[in-house]
Amino acid sequence: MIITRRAALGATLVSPLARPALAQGTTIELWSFLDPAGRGSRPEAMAHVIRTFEAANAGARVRTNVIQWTELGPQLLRASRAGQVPDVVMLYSPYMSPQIAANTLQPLDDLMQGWSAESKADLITLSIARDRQNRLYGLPWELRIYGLFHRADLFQAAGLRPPETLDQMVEAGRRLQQGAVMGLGASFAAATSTAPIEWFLPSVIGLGGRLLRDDGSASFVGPATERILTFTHELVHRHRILSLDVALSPSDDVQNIGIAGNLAQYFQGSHRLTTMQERSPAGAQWSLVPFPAVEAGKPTPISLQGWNLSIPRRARNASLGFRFIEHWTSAEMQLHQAVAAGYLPVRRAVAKDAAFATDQNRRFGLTEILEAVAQRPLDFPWPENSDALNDALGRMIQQVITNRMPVREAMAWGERTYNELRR
Amino acid sequence: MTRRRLPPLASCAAHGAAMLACAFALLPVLWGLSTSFKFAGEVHAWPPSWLPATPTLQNWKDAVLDPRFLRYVLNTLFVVGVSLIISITFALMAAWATVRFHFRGREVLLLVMWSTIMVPGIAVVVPLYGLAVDVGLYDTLWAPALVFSAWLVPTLVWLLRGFIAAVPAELEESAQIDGCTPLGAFVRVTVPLLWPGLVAAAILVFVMIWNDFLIGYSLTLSDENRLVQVGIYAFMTETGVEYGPLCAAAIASIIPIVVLYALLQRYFIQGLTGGAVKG
Repeated sequence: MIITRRAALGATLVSPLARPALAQGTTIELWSFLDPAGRGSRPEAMAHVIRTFEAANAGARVRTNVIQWTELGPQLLRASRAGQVPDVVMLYSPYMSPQIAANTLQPLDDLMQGWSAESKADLITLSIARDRQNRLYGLPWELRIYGLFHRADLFQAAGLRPPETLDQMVEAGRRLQQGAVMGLGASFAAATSTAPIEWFLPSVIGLGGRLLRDDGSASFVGPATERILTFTHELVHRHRILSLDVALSPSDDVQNIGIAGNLAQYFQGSHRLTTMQERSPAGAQWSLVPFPAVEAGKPTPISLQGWNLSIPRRARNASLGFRFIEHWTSAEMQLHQAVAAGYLPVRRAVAKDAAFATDQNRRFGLTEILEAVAQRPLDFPWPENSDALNDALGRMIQQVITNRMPVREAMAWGERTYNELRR
Repeated sequence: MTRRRLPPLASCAAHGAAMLACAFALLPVLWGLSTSFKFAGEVHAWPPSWLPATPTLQNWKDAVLDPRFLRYVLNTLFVVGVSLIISITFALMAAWATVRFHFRGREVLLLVMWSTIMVPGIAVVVPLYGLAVDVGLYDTLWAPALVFSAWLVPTLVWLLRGFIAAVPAELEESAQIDGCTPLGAFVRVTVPLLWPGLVAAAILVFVMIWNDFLIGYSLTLSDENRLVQVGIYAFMTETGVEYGPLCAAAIASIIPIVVLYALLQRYFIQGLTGGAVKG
């Protein structure tokens, strides 16, 4: 089914008209990691969403409680017990499962019943935000993939194209590694980096590996895992484009090395592209491509994640809260924040809109990423505790790159570690 | 007491060691101060620049002049104030009772009280959270204030006992002969002589609460009730650590402690050493 942007926009704009008027002075509380009063394109885009919502809903006000991003989930668990929940809460997709399991969120399916089939089909939702009965607990307001950030200026000067295979990535790393500039940055510090589940996992799955059995236990031992683990070891010890210090550093520190201009390419999420461009002297030279394929013609599947808007159980103003969610996920708001702040939109129609597919976004790789996501999405049965999986994979990689264990021994060790962590 | 003059070589070594210790303690603070005046690009520059190439006040504007930062500071001052009143009042009474009165089980009582000092905060934070929820104090400033008050009493009892013991009991007895009650004699005669100890206790309470993260984080939730260290944590954002504003806020947050300590350090040192040797 082809859905035009106009149809999607119409559907999202018309739906609020059918609703009753608000009582004067209604306020909803939003828990957010972003501060709409802050500086930068992302806070400004959020402020625009709130401003336009309040303008479109006379009497409605959005009160934002800014909470540090890793603490939104734990704080919601605590607030649910205390009965002091907000009306809308932002939750990062890997942290949805524990909240669903703890029964802190309302399913949104009933609230979405008034939506047209077109509007529903146009919105990208994440399977991780659903329970086993396929009920949906959160609508994403932005999407991100993890991929390979690279310095377009360095690649151009060396006559290189952005890597499409791991071999090309290694070759580029070798040629661009000069002076203070390192060929590749990637963090496998399990507690502070998601590279184990964002790069290692899709690479293994792309080669036909499984990593988890049907009962949820680990199935790390296999040729696909062995191959990617060996490659990771070679990045550090044979190709020498990834320093061991960097590989064991927290993800934020690796990014800081990139901001300082000392990385030619590194693993990171698309949500940090704008930050890199705003903070790094290299600015707009930072671009993004999906992770290179392990083998030519066998592209690595892409893991799609995002921040969701959810309504907690016992929220005082769920209906207005959901209206706010509708507003934020509308085509109009999605287009605005995609253009203003470089977000990947959650509406398919917006991704095809000429205003989004600008030369700039094409150059940064954003439009290609959305096309790639549609072609090769990662199909993986995420466990309730994806942190444990990330931790076990990260520690397994660390055992290998620090030469503490040979690859095969590390795989068996990682398997045992995950099975213990998930208990 | 006469001071012995060190031989030149030993004096040099002593001064050198003192300077090294100062540098060790101050370098991170000075580095943070320098970072707070740098633009984001320069913060991560390699090789690092000791001084900002083009100093900016933007980080200070973003972090410290934000009205919310002032609110965090005021919240923390409120918690400090309430905790000071409650903990020092209770600690004074307990210290006085255990110094002046001999009753059965006194030593055991003191031992039990002091043993609570060794319980790490992280071990009790979940029950404290549950309690705060059950009594309806979760996400209010009273919750951390009451927890700190209770938490600090054993330490303050230990600190103040030495000072009370150093005041001759005869002074209180004289006041009682003149018509004071035992408590009246303590309040009117002994307490005014405890200033160094009380100042040391107040600084201890102030520093502990000002630097706390765990209790403030666990027992409060909303922006209106956030304490200063929890507020600073927000600069560790989803897209990386904002070192410039983080350093500006951290440096600003230590200024009250530095000023307080600079003004009252004589009492603080006197208080701690006095409490350590008497009693």
